[in-house]
Amino acid sequence: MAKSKIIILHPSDNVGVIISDVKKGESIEISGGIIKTISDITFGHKMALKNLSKGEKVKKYGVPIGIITSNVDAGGHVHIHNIESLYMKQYTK
Amino acid sequence: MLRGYLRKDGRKGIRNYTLVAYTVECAHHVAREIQYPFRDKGVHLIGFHGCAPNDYANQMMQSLCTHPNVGAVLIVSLGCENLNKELLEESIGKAGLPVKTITIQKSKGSRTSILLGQEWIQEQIEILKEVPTVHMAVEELVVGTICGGSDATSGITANPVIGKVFDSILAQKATAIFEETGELIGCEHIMAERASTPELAELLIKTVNKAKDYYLKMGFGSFSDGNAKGGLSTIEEKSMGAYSKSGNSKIDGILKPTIQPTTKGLFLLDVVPDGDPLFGWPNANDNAEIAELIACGSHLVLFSTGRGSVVGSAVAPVIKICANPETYDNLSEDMDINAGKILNGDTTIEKVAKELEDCIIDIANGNLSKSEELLHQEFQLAYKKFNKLEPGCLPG
Repeated sequence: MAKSKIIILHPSDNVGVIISDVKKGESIEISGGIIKTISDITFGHKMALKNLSKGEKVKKYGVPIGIITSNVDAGGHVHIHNIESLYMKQYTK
Repeated sequence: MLRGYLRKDGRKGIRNYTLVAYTVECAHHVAREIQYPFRDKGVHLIGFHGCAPNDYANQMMQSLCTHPNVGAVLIVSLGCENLNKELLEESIGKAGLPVKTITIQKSKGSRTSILLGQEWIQEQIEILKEVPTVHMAVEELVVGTICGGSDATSGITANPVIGKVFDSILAQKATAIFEETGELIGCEHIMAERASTPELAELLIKTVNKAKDYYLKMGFGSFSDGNAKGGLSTIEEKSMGAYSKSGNSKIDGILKPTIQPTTKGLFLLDVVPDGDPLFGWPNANDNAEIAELIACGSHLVLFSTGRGSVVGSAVAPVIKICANPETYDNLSEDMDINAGKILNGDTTIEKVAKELEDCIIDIANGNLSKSEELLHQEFQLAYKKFNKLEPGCLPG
């Protein structure tokens, strides 16, 4: 078995955590298929497991950790440029 | 099936330690001299620097001296301090444990006190050797968890591993305690969904809000550039990393230090003092929190670390779960479990969780954790102030 490059923390998650730096165009094996990265992603950062649309909740650990602010395709880097805290919006002034 | 030591109140301990407990810093040296030759014979040192009176410190000392892992206690007092040593001695006696107080001011001084203390400890060690063990079920175990020296790996390896183990032992009807409300800011509404009652859901949110206010007053920000560089995008994502230690089971109640769960289940320990900040940070270091988890009855503590903490604790074994594979290579002599190997891509969170659960059973059965073998017996107790638990925090 090839060494996994991603951790998916919960079956309902739509992002996974990259566990070794990957280049754009690399194939990432997940259970049920292969996703090609569409940007470089470094260790500890998140990759979209499916196409995510603006307004969609990002799920990690099986729970929403933020909301998508601009569309990102499967294999894309999900981070502060395309995700926003739901908590800061809802519970802080 | 485990084996344990039966105490008078029906609880069982996984160790039969003797404690030397000093009641003010002025008695620390004498207490340490008494304990030191016996430090590899199950004799641990705890104490309070004092001297001004503090209810929390009194209750912590009582809870720790009557912990089920403890078989005998020697109190070492200077003589004029404020800690209520009479009540401490009485509560240890009521718990059915051999107890003796040495008051230095009435014992002809330091040298005589040390000799008297060592003689008594030697006797207790001989007596405790003969105490028979009894069967103990996994459901009688109380397991606490903490993370310290965290890095980007903690929230994706060691903490989710601990969460899986919590789910598994809770399914076996054991009791589990998690804490660090300051690190739950951002996921309190997610946590509230796991509360066993609507009332408890509100109290969980209130508890995290209290931590948020406290840390704001102390001038503490929660989300840093370093977090973002490490790949974390939002405060709730960061908090989920710490929170994932608690697993996915329902949450049964909220505790404060020294309050012991009256039913089985999963509990959040609220370590943030009530009222305005009085004595500084809620906890100055990991060991102050470990002592509180133990004072709530934890038989052992699961410690997740990414950068590599080496501590253990007095009174209860600490099992260290290393989140980062590089840290593990560097500090393997201090680490019980290498959760970092998940990042090498050739094992899974589930497999390491099984390994950790086996390790817990092994150590509960009397085998030593790495920190116990190395005689790490750190202990910290500082001033704090708490109000009583609000109604609804404990089940039924």
